[in-house]
Amino acid sequence: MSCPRSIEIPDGSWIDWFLGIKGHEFSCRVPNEYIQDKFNLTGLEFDSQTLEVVLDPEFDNEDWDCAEEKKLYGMIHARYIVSPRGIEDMRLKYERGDFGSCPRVFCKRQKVLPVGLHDVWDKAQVKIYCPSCNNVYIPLPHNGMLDGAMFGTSFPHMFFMQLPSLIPSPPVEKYIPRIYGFQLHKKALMPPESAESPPIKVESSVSKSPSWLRNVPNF
Amino acid sequence: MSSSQNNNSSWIDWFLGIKGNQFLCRVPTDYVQDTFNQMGLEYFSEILDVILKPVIDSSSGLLYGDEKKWYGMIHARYIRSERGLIAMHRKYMRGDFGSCPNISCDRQNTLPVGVSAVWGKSTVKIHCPRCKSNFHPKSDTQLDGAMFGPSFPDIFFSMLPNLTSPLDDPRT
Repeated sequence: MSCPRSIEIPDGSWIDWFLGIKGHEFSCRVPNEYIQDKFNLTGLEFDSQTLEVVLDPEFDNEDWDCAEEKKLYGMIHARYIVSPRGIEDMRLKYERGDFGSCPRVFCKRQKVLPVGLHDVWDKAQVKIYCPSCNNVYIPLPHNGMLDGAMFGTSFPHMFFMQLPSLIPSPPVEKYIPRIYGFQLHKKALMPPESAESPPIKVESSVSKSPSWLRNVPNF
Repeated sequence: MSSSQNNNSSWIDWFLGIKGNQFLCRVPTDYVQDTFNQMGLEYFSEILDVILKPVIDSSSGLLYGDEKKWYGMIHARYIRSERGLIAMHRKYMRGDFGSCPNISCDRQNTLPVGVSAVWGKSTVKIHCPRCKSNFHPKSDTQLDGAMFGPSFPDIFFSMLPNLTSPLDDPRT
């Protein structure tokens, strides 16, 4: 039996605390031995105190900002998730739907993966990549707080290279614009010619816009 | 809770104030009362009475239950009228319908669209005029898509063509 401890002191590590923050559901746990391996820290700039906090088994949250610790853990996280063990962890999260689904209607709730737009810290927040339409989207607000560099630009594509059986088939349906069931002419879907280049031909057959439309401001 | 609902407001005021109904715009009562705009809609006069009542208490608003559907079908017609398009234009410019989640569209404002004109098929979606795709809205709205109809974005941009902006997408 361990000695009794005040309930106000959380019995958890810094990593436990970090992963438990609301909005950090995309993150996965990097094993301590991976962090302690110097090879995995190659090229990262940090001081030893920051590393000690990240590895602290009994972290007492004293309302620290922990900005440096988050950055260090994030950059290690980006390396871990493309390792064989990391890809397996992320596969479990992907299958569970931890990263959400594609907002595009015709992707039919296809599961997505997190992706960064940059590999450098503090450039942009994490985005989500849909393997069905091969597009990148802004995740729901409560999921999009993490830095994109925690996942990196390569992760989704490395993931599907390792697990090609998980690649979904592309969507066959496409949105067809219709008014009362009738398809629109291609020209109707194009923006009007710019006012800066007036049309050379003046076609008198073109009817004027209804009078009430002229009252609508053109921003 | 019930006292806040019973504050001299109409059924329409109450209905538009519900969280998740931000997509809706207010249909003027004269539009609702015009029998031409009611053509083809099945209704009981009690439902119409509830919708048009200037002051309701919360208990009477729950008596029939089809007010939402009936108002929704009138709403689908109104937003295609001259006045409705202007009202929806204001909401569109304000960003009431949200923005496109595709990062290439650079937070383009979107419009609501239904998959079907028939009630009860599916909830409302949002349409992005740049990538011309439909998306699930971010907000947890449960409005029926028939309240807007499948033709609304295309009618909107046909009548207001200056708002169309192209997306340079090589996959198109």
